[in-house]
Amino acid sequence: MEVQKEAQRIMTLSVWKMYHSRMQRGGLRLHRSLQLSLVMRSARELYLSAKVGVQEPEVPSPPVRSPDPRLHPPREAEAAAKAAPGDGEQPSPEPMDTQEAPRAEEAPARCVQRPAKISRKRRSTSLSDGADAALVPSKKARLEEEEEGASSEALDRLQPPPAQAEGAFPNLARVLQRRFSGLLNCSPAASSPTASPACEAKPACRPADNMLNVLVRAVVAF
Amino acid sequence: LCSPPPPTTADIISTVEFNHTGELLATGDKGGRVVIFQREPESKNAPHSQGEYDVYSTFQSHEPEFDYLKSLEIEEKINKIKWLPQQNAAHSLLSTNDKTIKLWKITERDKRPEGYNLKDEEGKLKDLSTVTSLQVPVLKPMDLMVEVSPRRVFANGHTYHINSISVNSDCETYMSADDLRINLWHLAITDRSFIFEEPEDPSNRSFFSEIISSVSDVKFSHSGRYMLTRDYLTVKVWDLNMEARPIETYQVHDYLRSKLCSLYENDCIFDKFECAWNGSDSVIMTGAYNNFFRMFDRNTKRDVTLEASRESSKPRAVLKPRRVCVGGKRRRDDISVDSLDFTKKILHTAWHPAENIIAIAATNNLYIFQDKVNSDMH
Repeated sequence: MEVQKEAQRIMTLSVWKMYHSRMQRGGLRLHRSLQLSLVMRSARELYLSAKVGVQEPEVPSPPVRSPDPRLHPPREAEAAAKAAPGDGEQPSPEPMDTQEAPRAEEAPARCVQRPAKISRKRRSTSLSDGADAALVPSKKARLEEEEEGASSEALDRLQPPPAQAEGAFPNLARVLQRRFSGLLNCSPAASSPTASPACEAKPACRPADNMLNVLVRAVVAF
Repeated sequence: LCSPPPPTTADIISTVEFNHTGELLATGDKGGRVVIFQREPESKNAPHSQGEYDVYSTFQSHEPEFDYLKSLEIEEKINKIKWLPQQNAAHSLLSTNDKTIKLWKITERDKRPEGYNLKDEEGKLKDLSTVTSLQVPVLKPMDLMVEVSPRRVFANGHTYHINSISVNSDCETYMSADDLRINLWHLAITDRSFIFEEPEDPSNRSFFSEIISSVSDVKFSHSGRYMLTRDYLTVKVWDLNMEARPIETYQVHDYLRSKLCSLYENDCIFDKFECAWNGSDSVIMTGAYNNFFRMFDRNTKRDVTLEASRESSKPRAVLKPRRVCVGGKRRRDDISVDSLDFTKKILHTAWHPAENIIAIAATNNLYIFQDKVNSDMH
């Protein structure tokens, strides 16, 4: 669906911008980061609500959010900004949970079904299929990860990460690069000059396996 | 619409500001330097050189620093310069980077004392036995020397990045603002504040609505009655007596509305354009892309697009109005939206407080345009 694709593209863009803004000279800019997070939230909520709209009816789901959640972001952002740590220049440095790679843009054939575990944490959306659970933070991810091992992506994750050889962000770099080139190839207008930025990203201090985890962390941090 | 990253040289001008008389024009750049231009007095010998601006002083205002606690480099780029009202022979200005504001005093020296009794011309102490008579040192003229010295340094006042400063007319207080807070240096008590916000147009909603409605610049009119705001696509005139909505809205480059996603991709949507009033508050000016800048006449409701480029700006040449074509009939010199150069952006502009002289910063070039028409007509 076009709307979904567009929203996803914007989410990816936003994540990359947030990630890359940590490297820029002078440090993170609060206002810019807030703006990026607003766009990310709008895109994420549109994407998720569009996804809910096409789900099969027998999947149990909590009530769907209001159709235009974009009206809310300013207040959310404000509340989030207040909740953020006093120095808002760096998002809270938490280790990234290991999650399986997002499936959303790939063909439905590769959709991996997660076991229907009931998480103690309230999920923000109704999604229980594997494709978009990665969009929602989950502290149980590591355990669930080891139980599955169904997909090759998950197997990659379990193998000793080549972090030492490639640098601190090897998986994130690959995920971003693949995502980016995949999305950008679909869209005739865009050929971003920054198409493979993650490859040039300087190593930072902690590994981040999953791009959408960065998305979620960044949104939560604000 | 994709464009290569902008040049990152230290010469990129980051702020432009006339002083209160318009005699001096200060620019700051990414390299932390301040260059002050002075308008030459109109001379009868060369009447056509109607007071041109020449370099008056150059100094290094800020240096790059490193915050070891946060592991952050602090850029030396000058974000804003503001002149203090002149109180004596010296000029003073405030310049700020992301973290530190500095007060600079600019003085002229065109005389120096000569004929000291105890020192010779180089300043070395004389052998007292050679001193046979006393003389009174006299002041002799010398080549003009402009001296700049830092008088105050306001550091550690901001957690976030300082984006603007504003001097109060009392000459004793000024404000500095970062992304979240405003500091008052010398507190002034205010017990009321007004919020100027236009309700959102729901039909124009998009992912980027918040970003494009962000105000990038605010300017009071010279009269003090109105306020000019710039957001990504428009400039708006507000009556300070009515905060519900602007009284006038001008479209700067509405043809970009359908390109917001691409502009988000190449970061252009975050560009912060400034705006300016002319001396009589009848014309407003703001920059755009492709080195274009726009002027709107509030009375006649006419607007014009001009270009600041070497090719179209030979000295004494008259600027030719430009046009961006958005479909429909295309005239010969029109530029199509897709061929606009988004790396050439005019973010910083300034208008002389009294005359029709404008300063336009285009990346690392400063253009100064003067109006040839008799200023009595305006």
